Amino acid sequence: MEKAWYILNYHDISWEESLFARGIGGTVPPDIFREQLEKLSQEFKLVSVQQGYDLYQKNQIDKPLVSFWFDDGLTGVRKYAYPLLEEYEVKAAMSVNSRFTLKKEFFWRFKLSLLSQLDGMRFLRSRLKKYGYKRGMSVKAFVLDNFSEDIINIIDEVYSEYTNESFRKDSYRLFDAIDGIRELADNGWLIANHSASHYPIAEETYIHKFKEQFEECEKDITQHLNIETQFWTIPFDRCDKRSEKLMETFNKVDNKNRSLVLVGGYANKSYGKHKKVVYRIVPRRRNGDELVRFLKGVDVG
Amino acid sequence: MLPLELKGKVIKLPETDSHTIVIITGKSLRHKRFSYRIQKEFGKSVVAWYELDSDYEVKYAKTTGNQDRGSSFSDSKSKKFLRLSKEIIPCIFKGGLVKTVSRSLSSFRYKREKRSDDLGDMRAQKELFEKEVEGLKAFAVVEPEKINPADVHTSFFIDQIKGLDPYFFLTLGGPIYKMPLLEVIRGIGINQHAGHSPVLRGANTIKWALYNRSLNYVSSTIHMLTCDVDGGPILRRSNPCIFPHDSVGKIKARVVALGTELMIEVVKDIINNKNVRIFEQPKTIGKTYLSEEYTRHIRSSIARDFEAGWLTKELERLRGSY
Repeated sequence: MEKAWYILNYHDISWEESLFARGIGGTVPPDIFREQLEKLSQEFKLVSVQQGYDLYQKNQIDKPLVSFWFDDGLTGVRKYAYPLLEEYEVKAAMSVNSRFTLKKEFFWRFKLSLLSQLDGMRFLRSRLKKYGYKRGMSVKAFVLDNFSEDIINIIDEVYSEYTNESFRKDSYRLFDAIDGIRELADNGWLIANHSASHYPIAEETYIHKFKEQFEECEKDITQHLNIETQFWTIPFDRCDKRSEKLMETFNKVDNKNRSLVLVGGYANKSYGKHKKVVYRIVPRRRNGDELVRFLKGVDVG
Repeated sequence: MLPLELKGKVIKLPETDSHTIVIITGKSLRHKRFSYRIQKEFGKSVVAWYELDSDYEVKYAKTTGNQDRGSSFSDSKSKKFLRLSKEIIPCIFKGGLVKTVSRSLSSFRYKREKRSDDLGDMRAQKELFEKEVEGLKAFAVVEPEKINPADVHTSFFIDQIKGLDPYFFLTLGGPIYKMPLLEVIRGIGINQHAGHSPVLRGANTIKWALYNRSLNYVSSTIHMLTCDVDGGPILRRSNPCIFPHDSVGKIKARVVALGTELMIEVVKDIINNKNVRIFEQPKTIGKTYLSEEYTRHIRSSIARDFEAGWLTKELERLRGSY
């Protein structure tokens, strides 16, 4: 195993995978996460994100390190991942989208996933036609490739037609509330900024909202948690679709020497080469042994 | 999630300062996890835990003559012998030897396969829950009290429950509970059904969903306890996180684990707010399956699908097909 810092990027750890999450993936059941921890602890040193980052920055990684990072602020992380990680005395990081946490806006990709499971796509497809959608295209890819406020409104329109108010209100239970995020922060977890609404702000279509989205989330985190974040995590890191202006835009907006967190699929090794950038790896649906085997083949950045 | 296809209404439960909980479960590991999780979350509010066990002696039903559906759990050896002497032996003498042998063989085969299913379930539960349950025992506030299912409807048991004065009566497994028992609950009885009500009620509903290749019907339903089998008004329903290489037993165990967590959520919600949104189950939708309907043919069809890698492909399809 390479002497590098491997950051595993999860979304939810839960017994539940509702129709909102089913069309996305990214949920790992607690028994599998427990098994992954057990196997990883035999091959790696499990470290907090802060510990890993300090060693990375000083170029002092002398053994394979693993850290855990959860995106989107989902409830299962505090309920199931947190106690399991406590057994290994390791603190993780949580990237939050403030509008989800504050119940101001529901995750648009969750809406899309629900519609895909309930035959809502036929209505969505027909309404996307005027934006260039053609039969046979993947709706998931199309909306990301052509992302705009209009598209968000169309998804919301169909979602509202398919659901009722009590259902929509109840669905926020999937996202942890501010008290839950505070509990994690109080227990040593690192809280990161994942933008206000999880729009593809690293891609050409929506990079003009990069500043607004991160600053809104930062303001909310500061106001409700009294935390100034050190890491900004890019939503939807589709490597081949990253805007060329990404680093330039980030550097222009960031005035606190923060780091930009990407997926990328690399283990972190030499800080100088990727200054201000941290890469993560998506473990996908692998059991403990499969995950360790997979990590052995991961490229080191 | 709340069931989108059903009409909801809000009911008001009685206000109280004492949210006492009585738990009724079966005796397997998933049942124990259910009880320990509830005890961890609600501590001393849990005042009793009854563990249904058909091997445990029938204490009260025989004295009151109040035996009913619950007694189907307790096929004692003497009963089997009686049935053998009353039904099978005369049949042999009437010339139905071939039929008798064939029936015995198919019954033997059914039992062997059921036993193999049960072993698969037990193995899955052990893998999923054993470590967790060991840790949860530290939070136990009550010990399980064994009871034969036949005793559940006796006046003795009903009086015992009445004495405990439960606000919540939480069940996982067991017989159909009758009105005299349900009437002594101060607040609400809630059952966890491993199935997608109202479409799939009764026995083996996870397997029926798999047989129909419908992962969206692999669900857990939390509903109010009524005299209908899994037919009470729904409080919450959702789907489990299934892993691509799961066995049927593991999927079932995951559904039960999810149901337990949903039950905890519902109980917490009710403690905080007595206005509860419920969704009546229309009687004309879905089907209530009997255990006998889950035949060899259904079992083999599911097994064939799993051997062919259907589950992995279906999970991928659900994620990527839109």
